[in-house]
Amino acid sequence: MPRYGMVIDLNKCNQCGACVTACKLENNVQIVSKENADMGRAMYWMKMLDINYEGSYPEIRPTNIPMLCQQCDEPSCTKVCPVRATYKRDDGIVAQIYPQCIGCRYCMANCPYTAKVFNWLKDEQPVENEKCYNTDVSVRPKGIVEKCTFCIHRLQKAKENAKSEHRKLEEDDYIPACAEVCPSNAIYFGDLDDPKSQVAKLVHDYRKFTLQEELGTKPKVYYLSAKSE
Amino acid sequence: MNDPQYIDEDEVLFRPIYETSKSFYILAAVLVVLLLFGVFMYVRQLVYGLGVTGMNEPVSWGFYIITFVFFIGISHAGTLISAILRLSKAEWRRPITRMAEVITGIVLIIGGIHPIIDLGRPDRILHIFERGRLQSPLLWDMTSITAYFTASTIYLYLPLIPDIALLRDRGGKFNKLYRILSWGYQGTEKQKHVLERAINILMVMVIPIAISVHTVISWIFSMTLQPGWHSTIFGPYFVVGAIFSGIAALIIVMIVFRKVFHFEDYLKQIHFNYLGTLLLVMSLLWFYFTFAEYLTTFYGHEPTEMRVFLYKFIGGYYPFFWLMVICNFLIPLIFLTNKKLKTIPGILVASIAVVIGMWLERLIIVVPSLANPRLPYPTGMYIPSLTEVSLLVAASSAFILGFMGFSKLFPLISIWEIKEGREESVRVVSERLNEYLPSKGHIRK
Amino acid sequence: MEINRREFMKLIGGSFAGLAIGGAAGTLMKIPKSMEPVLYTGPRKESWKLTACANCPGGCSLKVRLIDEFPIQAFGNPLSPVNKGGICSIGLASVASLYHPDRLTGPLKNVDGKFVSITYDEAYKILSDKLGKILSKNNQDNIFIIAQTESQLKASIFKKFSDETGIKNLVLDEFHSNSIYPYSLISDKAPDFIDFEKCDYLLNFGSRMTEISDNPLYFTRKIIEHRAKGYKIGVVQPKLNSSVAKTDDWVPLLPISFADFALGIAYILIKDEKYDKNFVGKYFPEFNEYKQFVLDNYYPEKVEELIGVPADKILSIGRDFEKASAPAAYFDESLLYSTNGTKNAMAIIALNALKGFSGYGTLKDDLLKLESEKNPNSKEDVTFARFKERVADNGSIQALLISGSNIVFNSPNQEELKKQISSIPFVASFSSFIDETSVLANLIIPDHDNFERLDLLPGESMGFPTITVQQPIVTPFFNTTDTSDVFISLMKDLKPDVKLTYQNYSDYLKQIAKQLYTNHTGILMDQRKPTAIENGLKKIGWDSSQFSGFDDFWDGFLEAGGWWNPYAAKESFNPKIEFKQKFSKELFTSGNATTSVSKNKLRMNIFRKNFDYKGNMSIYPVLVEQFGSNWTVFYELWAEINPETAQKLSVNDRSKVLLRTTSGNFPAILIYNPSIIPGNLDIPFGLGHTNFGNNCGYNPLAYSDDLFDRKSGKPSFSETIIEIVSVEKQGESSPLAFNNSTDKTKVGNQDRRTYA
Repeated sequence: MPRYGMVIDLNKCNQCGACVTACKLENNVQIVSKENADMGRAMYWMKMLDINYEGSYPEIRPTNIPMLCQQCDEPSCTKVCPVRATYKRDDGIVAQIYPQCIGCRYCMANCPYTAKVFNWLKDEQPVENEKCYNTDVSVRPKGIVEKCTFCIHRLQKAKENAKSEHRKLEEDDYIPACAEVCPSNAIYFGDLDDPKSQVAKLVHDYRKFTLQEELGTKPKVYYLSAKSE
Repeated sequence: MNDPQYIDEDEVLFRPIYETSKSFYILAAVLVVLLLFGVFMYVRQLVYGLGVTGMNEPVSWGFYIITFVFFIGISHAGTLISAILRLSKAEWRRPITRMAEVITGIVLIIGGIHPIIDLGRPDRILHIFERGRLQSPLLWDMTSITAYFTASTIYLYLPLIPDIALLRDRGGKFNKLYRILSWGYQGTEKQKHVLERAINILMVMVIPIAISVHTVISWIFSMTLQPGWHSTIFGPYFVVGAIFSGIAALIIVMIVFRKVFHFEDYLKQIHFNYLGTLLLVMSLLWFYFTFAEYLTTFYGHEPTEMRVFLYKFIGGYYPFFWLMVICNFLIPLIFLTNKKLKTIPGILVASIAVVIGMWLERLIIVVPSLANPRLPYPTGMYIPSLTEVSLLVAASSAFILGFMGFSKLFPLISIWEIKEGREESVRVVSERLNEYLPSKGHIRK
Repeated sequence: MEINRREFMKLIGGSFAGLAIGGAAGTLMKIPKSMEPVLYTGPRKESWKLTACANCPGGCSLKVRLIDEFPIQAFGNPLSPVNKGGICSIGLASVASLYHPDRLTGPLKNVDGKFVSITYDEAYKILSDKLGKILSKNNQDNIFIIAQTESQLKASIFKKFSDETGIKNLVLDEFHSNSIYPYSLISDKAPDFIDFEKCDYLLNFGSRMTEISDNPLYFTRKIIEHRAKGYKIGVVQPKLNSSVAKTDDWVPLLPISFADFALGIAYILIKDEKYDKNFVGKYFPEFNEYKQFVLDNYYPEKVEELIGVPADKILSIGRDFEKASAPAAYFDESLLYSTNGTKNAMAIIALNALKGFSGYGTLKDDLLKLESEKNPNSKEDVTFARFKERVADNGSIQALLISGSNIVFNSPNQEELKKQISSIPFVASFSSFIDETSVLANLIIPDHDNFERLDLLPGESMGFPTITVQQPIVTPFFNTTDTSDVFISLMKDLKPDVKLTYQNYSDYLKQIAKQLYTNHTGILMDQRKPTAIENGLKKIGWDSSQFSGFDDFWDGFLEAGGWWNPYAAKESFNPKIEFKQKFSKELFTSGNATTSVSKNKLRMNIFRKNFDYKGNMSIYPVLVEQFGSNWTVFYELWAEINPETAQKLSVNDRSKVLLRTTSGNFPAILIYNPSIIPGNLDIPFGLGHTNFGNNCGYNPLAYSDDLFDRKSGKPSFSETIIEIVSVEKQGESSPLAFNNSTDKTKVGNQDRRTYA
């Protein structure tokens, strides 16, 4: 069984934000109105976090970080869900079952990465966006929690394709939208347990770190960053 | 009704059931309007989604959860206090227990509804039974609240039976209801015995259940990894807070009904003195827990914890935090230690302060931790919307309405216990005292 | 809480039903109307088609996903050498424009201020009659064409049109991208590409290479590779944007001072005698005058005094530049956006000349024989400055044709310009939307959407030629017409004696493509890069990808989405440097280097974000929402300020402020950003549309002073004085003010080791 994981090379990322747009469009994430966005209800499964600035003017550089669900191996969100609307699959993806969610938001409260978003309201979506909805992904109704699923619908499709071609799933068959579009190829995705895959090699890089390692959630999203940058 | 044969020595206790003043109807109408407005706002929330509240990301829990914790806390007033007092055979408990138990019953219903109000998809509530995961603290919570509700309603009902029998015997309105509810109780020796036995069993049972309820509620928070929540002390801390707020609520209810229904003869200064002392003890205990909780946080100085700590002490929530300290500690301390101030109005002031303070404490626990998550992006701010405020008001009105309704059906002070006390207490107590007091002039040979 | 009538009715209904909770549960479980078409119609058949993204000159190949023959998503084509599967936010969002409710469905005529729908034939007749009338009176000079296009081929049609009809006034408004215009001022040709194989030091003057440039995705990859090789990159840039994020040296400088900085670098090279004497002797006839001028005026301390960059910084960058064997001082049109624009261009070209343009390269053969040669010397370019002059002269312009450009939105002094344009008797627009410019038109003949159009997007910026095909992946939804076709028909009708070898635009494109077929070079974008052996074999006629004929090639070309030639011959770039009006010290000394900034007066630096650089993002809802998302500012204008400057003015982070320029007041949210040049107020461009799309925010350009480069007519983006009039709502000021920088550093400490 594979164990899917992601490596984001912060030394390559120049914060262009293509991953954010790609994620939003691929997953039909709701566009919220100004009133709601101002209340902090903007919905991003992947967001570009402004962490810090390093150095002082003019020798200063931004240190941003593309932030998504960390797909923990020991997820704290799945533990607390009262109805198993979020659970960890055998292949390591922490998935959501939208029709099962009762909207208690306990998982949001317990996510140390604040990676989950809630459908507070159903704002009227722009027509042009509705026409472009990805038909592989359901449009979530109001009142439920959602988050990055590593574009799990793509895995499903890739599996079906592979099956119809009577072959095994190959590494390139399945890749989330953010990793696919990244202009600087800073996002790597693959099977962490497959020693031949690129991610498996990269997680042994000396620059590797994960967010809040001390919590023991064992994220499967790794970041690479060298201080010299 | 006016038949002199029915004029009881405790007639004043029956009076609220048979006589209803105009102001009662006015108050009830106002409260019903408030309640209906709350219902309207809730329906609006159902239609539009939780977006009509002030909750956001990352503050994904707000007033509903705060009110839930608060009301469940108040519920400890009752059953726990009455059970403990009964168990310790405190004779002054007699006029208090009924009201305490009623508080529990009403408040548990209101509090228990709040998590459902908080749900994004209340229509899927049955998923909890269908696919519930016992690993989730929410399920523990549901289980223990249901158990507590069952136990405490029975515990309220059993001591009510002799009173219902009295009412039935008086005839008049609701006779059919009383007939059914009194289960043919005639006050025979055997019935009395069985009843007392049942009460005794329940009062022992209800104490651990009550403690478990609030411990489990605290676990909803402390089982998470959030800074400011992840604390071992939370179980006892919540229980202490719950009893604390419960006593305060009980005192308020007692004082109000004493005034409205002229129970001065039954609820005397001494009752309030005792309860006031108990309140003071709980206040000190609460302060001790609070102090321990925050001192360890501060001394450990862990950055994520410190952000929550500072947010409470000097950051966005500092007015609420310090108001909480004033309400929960300073005011009770001043009013309850000073002989001059420890009058009934003084105790009322202290109790009201404590109820407000304990509500603030729940606010202080829930919001700042969510507003300052471990990964500091994004941080949040929480301002409740009209929906949440009106639902809080509706919940409070429901509480008062519940009490008013109860007072029109059943006596608010346990009549048979009073009678029993009057008839037997002096004897029983002096016998008991004689049992353990050393006899005069006894010299060991 | 405002409740409108409809909501109220809904609520009343809801609450009656809701009293029995079942009613409310019913509304909860009902499938939203918006989802019904998605759920219930169509077999949901999926297909993929290739096209090109025409939002910038990069020529990225797009892989478009269609469901039931309707495009829903676009991704990068992994086989394209341009973007290699990557794609930027705009490309991703671009599908939405196809379905935009504001799109025009057919030609419109303005009748007394109201647009009336007419047929294409009617519209065309009005247009050709009008132009014919003016041309018959030999008033060619009174007609202006303003065109903005990413396609060189489309531009060549405009040029052809202007050549044939004698309408000399063609303004190619390249607001958005790189162009050869700066080179046309000073040299005889422009380089094609930065030769990253040779180049060992890149000094970028103001170009936002990874965002808004000739080829953003290629530069994004190249900068990473370049640095991985151990070479340095220096950037002179008014803002710390994502083009600067991964570079070595950043010199925060406004475009107005670029020239002084470049001359300061030149001083070091000349003083150290490290310049390419050979090249200078051969191609730079006025070198001695230039040398003397630089040596007299631009010693580092003097430059420090002029522009405030420390002398040792100038020295260290100068030394880096002179040490490099093949440095390139890169720039693009962005440096023209200042009153010193032309001066900047000349100074930097001269700086490159000192090193013999060794970091640059050019292709040996011109890729395509276009209708109009791209040699900048072939024709005096008509600039926007000329248009401004003429339009201000009331009544001198009789007709104005605007294609693809929203000049009103993209210019300062908009109210004046609006008045001037409305006073032109005949304005025809080819916009797909009623935007701020086309609302002033008498006639609108809407162009196709990018996904409905056939075009070729050639590119040379990578060191080898590429051509990406933009092809119609859907039949046009509405009654729209390709603007190039309109111009070709006009050409035929207005000048019947002109012999054209093509009937329409697609014919023309096929002719161009035929050159590729007959040349037998290059490969389609559907395969991996061939090995050198394969290529050698191909050269002598062993072509594995044989086509039976041109039609076959054309089909393959469309299917593959493009063509490229990885083994095109290159040569070094050796232009002749000649200052057009002779070397003039006057021009060089013009413009004051720094605008004075006092306590209240700040400089407004308008910057363009990579989500929007043409000012048309408002039609993409995703981008509008994302525009300020990393500052968590949504649908609102913000202004970034250095915390030190802000503290002097005692305004807190996230305060709501009212800003004032000479043109008026507008509100913004103040954001602390420690990377902003002190004294600056950086304001994003792109919000504040009034006529189409999302109308949130304000357009800072509308409040900008009407300052522009005298020669190119480009507006200055960073020389307006702005002040904070009042603070409407002070942001959090407690020691724990959230999102402010002090808190960030505090918080950052715990993870400091991890975030680089």
